[in-house]
Amino acid sequence: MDYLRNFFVNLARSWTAWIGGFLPDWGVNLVNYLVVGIILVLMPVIATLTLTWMERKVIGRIQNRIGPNRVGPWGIFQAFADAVKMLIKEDIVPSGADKPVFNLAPILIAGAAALLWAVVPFGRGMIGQNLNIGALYVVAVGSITTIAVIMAGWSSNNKFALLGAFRVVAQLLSYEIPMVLSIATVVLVTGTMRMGDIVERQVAPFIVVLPVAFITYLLAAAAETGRAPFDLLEADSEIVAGYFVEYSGLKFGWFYIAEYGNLFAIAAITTTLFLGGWRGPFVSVAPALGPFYFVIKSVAVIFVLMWIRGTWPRFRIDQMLAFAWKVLVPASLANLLWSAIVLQIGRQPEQLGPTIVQMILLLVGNVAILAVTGLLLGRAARRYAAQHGWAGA
Amino acid sequence: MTLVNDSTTVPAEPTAARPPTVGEQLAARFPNAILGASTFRGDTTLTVAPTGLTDVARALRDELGFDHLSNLSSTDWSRYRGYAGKERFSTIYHFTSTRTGERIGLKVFAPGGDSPAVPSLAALWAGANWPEREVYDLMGIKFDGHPDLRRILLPNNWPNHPLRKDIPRGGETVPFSMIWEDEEFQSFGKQIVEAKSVQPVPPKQADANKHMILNMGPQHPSTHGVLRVVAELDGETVVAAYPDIGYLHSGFEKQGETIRYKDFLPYTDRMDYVSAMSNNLGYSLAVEKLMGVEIPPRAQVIRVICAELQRLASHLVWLGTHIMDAAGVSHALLMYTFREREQLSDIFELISGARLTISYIRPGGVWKDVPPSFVERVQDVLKAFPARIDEYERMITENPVWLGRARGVGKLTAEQCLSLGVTGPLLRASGVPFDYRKARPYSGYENYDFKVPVMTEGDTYARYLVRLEEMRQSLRIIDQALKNLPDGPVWTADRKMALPPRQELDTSMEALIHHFKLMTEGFVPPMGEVYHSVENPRGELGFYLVSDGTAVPYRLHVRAPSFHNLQATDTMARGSLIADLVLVIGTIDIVLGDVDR
Amino acid sequence: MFLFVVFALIALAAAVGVITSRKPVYSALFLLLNFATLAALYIMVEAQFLAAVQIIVYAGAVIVLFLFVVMLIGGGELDDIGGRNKKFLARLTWPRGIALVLGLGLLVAVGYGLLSGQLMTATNDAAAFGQGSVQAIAAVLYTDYALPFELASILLLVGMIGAVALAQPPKKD
Repeated sequence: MDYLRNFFVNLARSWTAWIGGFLPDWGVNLVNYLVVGIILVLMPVIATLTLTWMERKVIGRIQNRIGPNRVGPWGIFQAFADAVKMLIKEDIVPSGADKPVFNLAPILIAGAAALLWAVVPFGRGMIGQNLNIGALYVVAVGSITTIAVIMAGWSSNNKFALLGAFRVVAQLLSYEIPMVLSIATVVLVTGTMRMGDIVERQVAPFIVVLPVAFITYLLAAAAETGRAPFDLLEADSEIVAGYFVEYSGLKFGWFYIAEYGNLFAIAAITTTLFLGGWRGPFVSVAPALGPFYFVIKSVAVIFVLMWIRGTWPRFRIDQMLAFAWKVLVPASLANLLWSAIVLQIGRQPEQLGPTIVQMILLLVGNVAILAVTGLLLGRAARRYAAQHGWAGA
Repeated sequence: MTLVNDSTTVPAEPTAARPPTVGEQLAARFPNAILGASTFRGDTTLTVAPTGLTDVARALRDELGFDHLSNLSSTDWSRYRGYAGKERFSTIYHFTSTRTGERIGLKVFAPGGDSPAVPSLAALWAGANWPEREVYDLMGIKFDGHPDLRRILLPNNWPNHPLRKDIPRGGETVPFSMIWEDEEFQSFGKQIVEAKSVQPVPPKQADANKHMILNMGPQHPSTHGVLRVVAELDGETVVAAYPDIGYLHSGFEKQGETIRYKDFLPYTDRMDYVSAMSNNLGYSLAVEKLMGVEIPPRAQVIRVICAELQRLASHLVWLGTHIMDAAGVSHALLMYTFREREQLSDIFELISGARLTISYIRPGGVWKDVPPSFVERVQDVLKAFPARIDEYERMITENPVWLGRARGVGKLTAEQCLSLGVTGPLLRASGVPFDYRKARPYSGYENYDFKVPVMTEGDTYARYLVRLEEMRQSLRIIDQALKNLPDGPVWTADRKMALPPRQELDTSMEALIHHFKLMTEGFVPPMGEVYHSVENPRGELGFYLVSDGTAVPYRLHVRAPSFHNLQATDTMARGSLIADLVLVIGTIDIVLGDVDR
Repeated sequence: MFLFVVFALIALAAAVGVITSRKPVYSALFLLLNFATLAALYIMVEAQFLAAVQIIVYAGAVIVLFLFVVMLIGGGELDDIGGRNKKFLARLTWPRGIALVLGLGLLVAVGYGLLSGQLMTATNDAAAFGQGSVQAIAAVLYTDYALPFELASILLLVGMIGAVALAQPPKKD
């Protein structure tokens, strides 16, 4: 029973002890690195296999359909069937494509998606590497995705792909700023960039304390990964599939894996930063519950993103950039400023995480920012409507 | 949203001391240009000298209020029975007044023998551009002063003008047919064969040095079929959009001129395949007008119910695909609208056995009387739909992203609409309360109480609201029609079209002969020409028929609403972003079978 | 040490690749590789913060803009602008001469710094950085170098305003 309470950590310990019996120390390290590496690389693939099925089911139910239901019970093996299909498809390289760059792009994007998992804390002590710059690492890896997308778009020698790449530059660079600002708010409040420690110091989930940062991060992250309603990079009805329109077979599969790996990753990071990560009832007694809470929270975030995808139209590129620069950036800047001020009130020298008073003050400030943003948006909409002579609005 | 109750007046009954007709006024003003006038089945057609066409047309538009160029077509008279005129070709223009619903036709005999030419009206009505190109393409009549006279439906290197009477149907050499002896095809499979019929890209107006030329289509998710739009882009801004059509051209008009009147009906299903009933109705009414027969009241009411059900179904398809353009295939609304459309398709299947290509409304009435459960099924629709339409509205109407995407996008003013020949919801969303069901009522539409929704903004959002309101009004019409569904026959009693009853065949030799003639030869209309138009879900659907007194149409022309509305793409898309171009194509609500025919 | 040699060699190879590539896009991508290996070198000296910033700023923003510009002006192969067929002296136009002199000067300066130990003074105590050197960098940046920091931020602000002013579309009347 005690073994089960902290099952995953104990399992790792037993495993290390076992292979330590017949391997030298450096061998144990090598094997362990290898195992962790394989797990991290497999994460996007696992995410793709499960999330495509989930997305199809969720979107299907939203659309009044059943969704996949032929391959296996409730169609859960549909994703495997798709994967096999993708593997046996012909790999086409357009004649005008820049071959090295064209081939490099899917590797880079899938690699970036795998790297993101290194800092995701699934439970107490269950983290690939509790980097001391974990939060920054997330942003840094995300920026590699941008490069990969541009490489794919440019090298395909296709105008739709190029348009997709143009959009990437504008969109990803714009949304990186509110994303970093909202992460910075969390870092400021917790006083650490280690993803593991952020969870440890999150006494109350930050979605309650910092709703502005949560909303900003979720929207910016959705934009960074090209989820609806920000899926302009691959807008199927406008630029067909955007930057990966020319890819087929396994290379297309890599983009797919990166997309869903990133989706799960942003959900996991949202969970870590704002939903209390692996925290939950009885976790202190049985830490093995942590990963379950973590996955449940992440899936909830993913469900919300899928829900949005099923019911919202897509932004236009100018509206999208305006939304980033005129709404998200000011709101998150104000939030950052307010957090910095609040944290100086009654500050103890060795304080870890915010006090109750500080949390209440933070919440008050966040609600005020939300209210002001809503008010200003409403006024702007009315003014815009009045300028164009629209009734109502 | 401003709903204007439409009160377009029906043309007044001619009285004893009537004011001079339009034809008389014009004849008085242009004594040299007006060569003659004829009236057949209430249609007045003036024959105009080519030199006077532009002046007469301008006077019609500016002084007499005939602001809408409904139809532009042409006829090759070389095989017409008893034709003794000098000129082989003529063009015909039908003008309609959007205020009074009056219509007048102008016919111009084109001088020049086998290479005829008439003045172009493209300077007066921008919308004459494409129809004139179509006439040039299919009939070979040149239009002097046309800005861009090229082929439109057929490939550039097509060898002939197929609607001319000396071109046999199917007899032309097809330029891209494959002959295995041809040395070009010796290495077939090892090389890419040069596709000669493709016209050079970019279009000659485009500036490829300064801008990016983006080829949207013919295979593109948002072009609603095989439409190709050559978009000239500056960054993501659309500098100009050139629609390129004809990929689905199947020569329906030529086909129609070789088969009997009633045999053309299934072809109408396949033109605007999203609203087959409305096409059936339009064609049947045109043929009935040519024949001069009366349709019994029960058939009329059934026709109205079917046409309005079809309008609902068509708007549902439009709504679902339009939101899909704005949101991607994952958006839920498409499946919702198709769930409702399923209900309507089931009704069509119930009454005709077919769901898409219905051919239920036929010249002379409707195919068979509706089965008893029809009323119940339609009542189910009436019960379910108001809540369903409210559901769509809750989902989309107030959605801020949809507001941002649709408002101010693809604007058309009323003047632009009329100039471009744009009809249907597009015209009504720009503030012109013009609906053929009110302006020139047919099938008893004057007996129903319904509003024509009108908005003044003229943008994509206004068109969205107009169409949604039209769906509600259609439900009202269906409700009234269902309550007043009379008993009686559903096929005309007029023996010109109706078969004699079975018992008469046993006793009357004449009835037997008549039956034999109708079955083998088909009904024979008198010599003459008619143009009749109905309010299709997409706009004005017109049929222009010329009869030479045989059972086969001498000339059959379709005025397709999608074809004319599609012309507005460039006007609507200029200066907007490429994402708006997709919405513009969606808001026109084109059906490529209707565009290309 | 072994890793350092590997990364240093990759960095050098990438740097050579930048200046020898015939396609501008390849040059930009080699530069990206160079930056990435530099980030790896930073991590090896316990400067994770610098490494992350290196990736975010250079890979995420600078290279992206390079690639964007290259795409906009067309990323085809460069013509024979170097005039490879000419003799060395004939190719030595005055901008190239200046570049050569400056490049040699830089090499000399770096070599002098390395040999005299001027570049090495602040190191030897990686542990003092702690916390991926965030605190250490912040402390130095906001105390000793506060004025240069603020001046740099003002410069960036001016640049930003200038860019916005330049990019503004001409007012429609």
